[in-house]
Amino acid sequence: MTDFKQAFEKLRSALPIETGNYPYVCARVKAKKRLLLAREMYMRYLQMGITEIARSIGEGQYAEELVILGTKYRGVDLIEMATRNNLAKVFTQIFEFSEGNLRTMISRYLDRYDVKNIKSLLRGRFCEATNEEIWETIIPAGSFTTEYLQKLLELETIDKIVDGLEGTIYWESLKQVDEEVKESGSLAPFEDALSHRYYSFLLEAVPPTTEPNLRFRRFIGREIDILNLKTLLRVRFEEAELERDVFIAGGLEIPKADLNDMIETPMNQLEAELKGTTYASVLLPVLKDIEQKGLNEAVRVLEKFILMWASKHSHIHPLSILPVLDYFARKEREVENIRIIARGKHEGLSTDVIKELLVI
Amino acid sequence: MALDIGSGIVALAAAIAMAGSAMATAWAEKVVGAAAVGAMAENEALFGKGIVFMVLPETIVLFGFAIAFLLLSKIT
Amino acid sequence: MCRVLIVGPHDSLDPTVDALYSLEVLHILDFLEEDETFKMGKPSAKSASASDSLIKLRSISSILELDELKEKKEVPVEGDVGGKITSLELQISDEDNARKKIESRISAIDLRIKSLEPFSNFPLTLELYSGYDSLQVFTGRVSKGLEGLSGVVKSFELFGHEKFIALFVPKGKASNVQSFLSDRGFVAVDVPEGKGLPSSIIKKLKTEKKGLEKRLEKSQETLNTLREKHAHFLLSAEDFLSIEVEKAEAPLRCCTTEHSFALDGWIPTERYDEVKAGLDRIGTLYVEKIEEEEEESPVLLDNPEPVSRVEFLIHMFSTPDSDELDPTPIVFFVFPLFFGFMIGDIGYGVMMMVLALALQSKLKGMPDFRNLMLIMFWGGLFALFFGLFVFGDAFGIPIFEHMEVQFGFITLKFPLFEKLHDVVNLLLLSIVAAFIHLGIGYVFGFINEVKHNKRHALAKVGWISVLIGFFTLIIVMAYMRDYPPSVATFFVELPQTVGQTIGLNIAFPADWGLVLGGWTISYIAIIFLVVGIIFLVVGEGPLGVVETISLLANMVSYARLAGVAVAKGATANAFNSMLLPWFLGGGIVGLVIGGVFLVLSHLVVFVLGAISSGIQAIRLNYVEFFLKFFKGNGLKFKPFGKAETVSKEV
Repeated sequence: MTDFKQAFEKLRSALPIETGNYPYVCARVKAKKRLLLAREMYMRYLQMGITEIARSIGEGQYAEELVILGTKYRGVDLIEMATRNNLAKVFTQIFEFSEGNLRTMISRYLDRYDVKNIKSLLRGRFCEATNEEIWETIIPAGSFTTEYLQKLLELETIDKIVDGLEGTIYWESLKQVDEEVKESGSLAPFEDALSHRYYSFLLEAVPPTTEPNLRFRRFIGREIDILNLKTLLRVRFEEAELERDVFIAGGLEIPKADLNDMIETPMNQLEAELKGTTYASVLLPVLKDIEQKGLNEAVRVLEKFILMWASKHSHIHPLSILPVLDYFARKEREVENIRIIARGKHEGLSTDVIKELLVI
Repeated sequence: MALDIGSGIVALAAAIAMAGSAMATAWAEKVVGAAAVGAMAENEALFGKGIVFMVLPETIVLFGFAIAFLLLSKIT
Repeated sequence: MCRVLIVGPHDSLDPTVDALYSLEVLHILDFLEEDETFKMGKPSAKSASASDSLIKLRSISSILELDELKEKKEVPVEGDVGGKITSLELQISDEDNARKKIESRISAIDLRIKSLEPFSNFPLTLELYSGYDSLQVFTGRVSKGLEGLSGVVKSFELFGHEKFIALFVPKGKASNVQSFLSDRGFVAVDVPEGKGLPSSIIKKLKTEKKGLEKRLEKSQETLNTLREKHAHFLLSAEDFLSIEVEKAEAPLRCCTTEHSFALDGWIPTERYDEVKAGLDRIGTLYVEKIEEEEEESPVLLDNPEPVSRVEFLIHMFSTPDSDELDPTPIVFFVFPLFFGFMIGDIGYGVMMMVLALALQSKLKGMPDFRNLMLIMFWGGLFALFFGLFVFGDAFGIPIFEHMEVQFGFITLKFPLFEKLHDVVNLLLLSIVAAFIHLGIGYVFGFINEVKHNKRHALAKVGWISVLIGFFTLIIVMAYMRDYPPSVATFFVELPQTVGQTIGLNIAFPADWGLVLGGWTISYIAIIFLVVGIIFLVVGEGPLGVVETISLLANMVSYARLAGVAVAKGATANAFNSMLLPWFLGGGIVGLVIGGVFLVLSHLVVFVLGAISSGIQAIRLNYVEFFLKFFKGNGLKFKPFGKAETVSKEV
């Protein structure tokens, strides 16, 4: 009986048929996309004060959060909390109304917030931040419930947090590099292990059976490329010694083996090697100034590249995971933009400087 | 009213035309309806557009209805 | 609509905004393209504090559940509004926090009691369950009895025997006992933390809970009094502050330079003088009409009462563009006509009218719903009309059996059509409806297109010709059968009848056609079709030919009118033939039970019929009719003013 069931499952996963309520989810996500802030709203926000921005976002998508938090927080904090809670709420909601394999893919994609949150918790403990400070960086949009995250926050040491993750898919991977962390005194092995685990788990859930799924896999591959490139630049820039495997397998254009070689190659040869990839057009111009200007510009262009790629591909298959991905990316960007404006106003930056920082 | 074999076959044909087109409509409306409800859940103002798209496939069943009707007129 | 530009120095911006706000006529075009000289304005100083108050106010309104308030009373909002709101916020959010704390404490107590309850039957304190060197303790649920336990372990102490147990055994035997227990469906339950006897802890917790519940009640009462006292103030203050903010943020919609501002927008032409006079009073302003194509102007549908009541149906689809014909009057007439045809029953029609009247007076606060009720009333009237004069049905019961009435020289048979027997005629009537409705659609399309694209307008003429062709084809096919349906006969003989009255002898050559398998394909229809298709090819290109099939599909689509009418009639009839004999012939019992069932079944037919007829009637307008001429996507006219600000909140 189980053999039969397994055979059936195998057959089903090989067929180019996906289970999932695509029409409902995609239409709903498209409607949500129309609610996102338009360009002119950002222009208005640039002219407004912080309370006015808070009120204005509270008249749109963020109404519920503003009503709940309006008496508890003020100013920038109010905006940050409201946007964070809203992001978590909306993403969780999309996960909840999806079905079938679409649901699995969405949930695995959203697991990145679990990874982010674990990293924030570990980093927070590592630099001895207060619980409030750490909590502000947590975004409960993944599979971990707020209660669970709060429980993890209560744990006093890094070891306890790792043990507290027992039962999740990350525990084993973290345990494996435990010794290494203790020896090196850096969290990097933990962070790499988390990313590795996340991407392999995500790829498992996306069978390469349909055209949109193939695109999704390519999207993940690009994301891995970009993560690897960022790591590569960081390693080269900081001239760090490497004893471990820092790169993630599964990149689309740059294989892992090549990356390990690229650490040592001189700059002009590196440029030549990158020339064959699609990242060359955006990366090479900024690579020249990297010695003077630092890494940030290069990291920004790479991040923007992946966003543009996602939105370009969202229209090709209207009933697939792709529009959902595009929405996730846009919504994240919106929240990020609102926070940049609010924080910029708070720090007293000029309108033009803030405008430069936005990605619209 | 006793029917001969030929009339029986015509009646069956009418039934198939009706059933087939009705099922096709149902399937199409399921897809469109799900999308329409999804869009309306976010924005109630989409009701008008939603209903337009939702009922478009109904025409399929009307074709079936017309064909079935023409077929049935052969019997009498 | 005419476009106006208002320019003035910065210090007259505030009075300008005030003046325009009270006039409620200007549809502001937001300024977007910033450059070196022309900048978006900054909100005025009032806006920050008003925004702050509004954020707080909306929070406390939600705590007090003000949206559930039935009626709204305007209260004057004066003095230090911000201060008042801040102090209210303090009181209310304190009380709310206290309430939440109590609530979470209560749920914590509930959880604790639940975890302690299974242990409360055993005479052991919580400390006694742990801390042994030589004893292993099993606590949990079992699904089977524990007979045979003494075979596994000799010395043990067992509390409870069914369902929930606590078992003390020597450590050495623990694994044996474990496997014994798991065979009996053992599920471990952790011993709750703490000290003391579970039953007495529970007792203590219960008294604490009682106290908390009392405090909760009190807290709720305080909130209720606060709500009663301040509700109307808060609602009025929200409107007041929203207006304040809307005005204070008007500069964001202006174009400003170092010293001056400019506001750009549309106003209805007939109110221009009024606006000009109002603004001239401020003095330092420069107001001018700009010559502009009307095409880009926002649209204010302007229909007389009661036609304007169905405008919302148009907006629900899309607002017409400024140079498109407004289809409201047609929909106002056609929607209830179709609706009434599908219901076509005296009984249901009267029920509909009564219901609509009753609901209308109850729903004063919901304008769209009231409008819907008006349409329902109007539809009910048509249903009554069709029921009386066409179908002769009341609750599915035929009211006249083949009655003949003499009107002057015309003899009319009643009912004109029987729903269940004249299906062919009903279908033909649907085609007639399609012909007229779609014809109007194409005429509208022609008028809309002739202004900018002559070729598209030509295509519309082609469409009309194709429509006439299809109509003729269908009517003639029906007429040339052995038993021509009366509707077909009427239309084929119409030219003759008309000719006779004006003294001409003309007749429609219905038999001039190609006979194919018993059907006659009229040559006249073919001529119209061919001419139409030629026009289409010229106007829209060769693909237009394929498109003609879609027109046929559209015409067939109107068969839903007949379909719903027949289906409803048949259902009502079926219920009647099942239940009426019972109702009339079953004595008292039959009278009561049959009556109840009869009422219920007709209610079902009524509700389902009303819903499906409504949806189908609106669909025929939206899909078949509108798509012939209506592009929509117009900008709805939204004047800067109180009505817009306040309605935005909902």
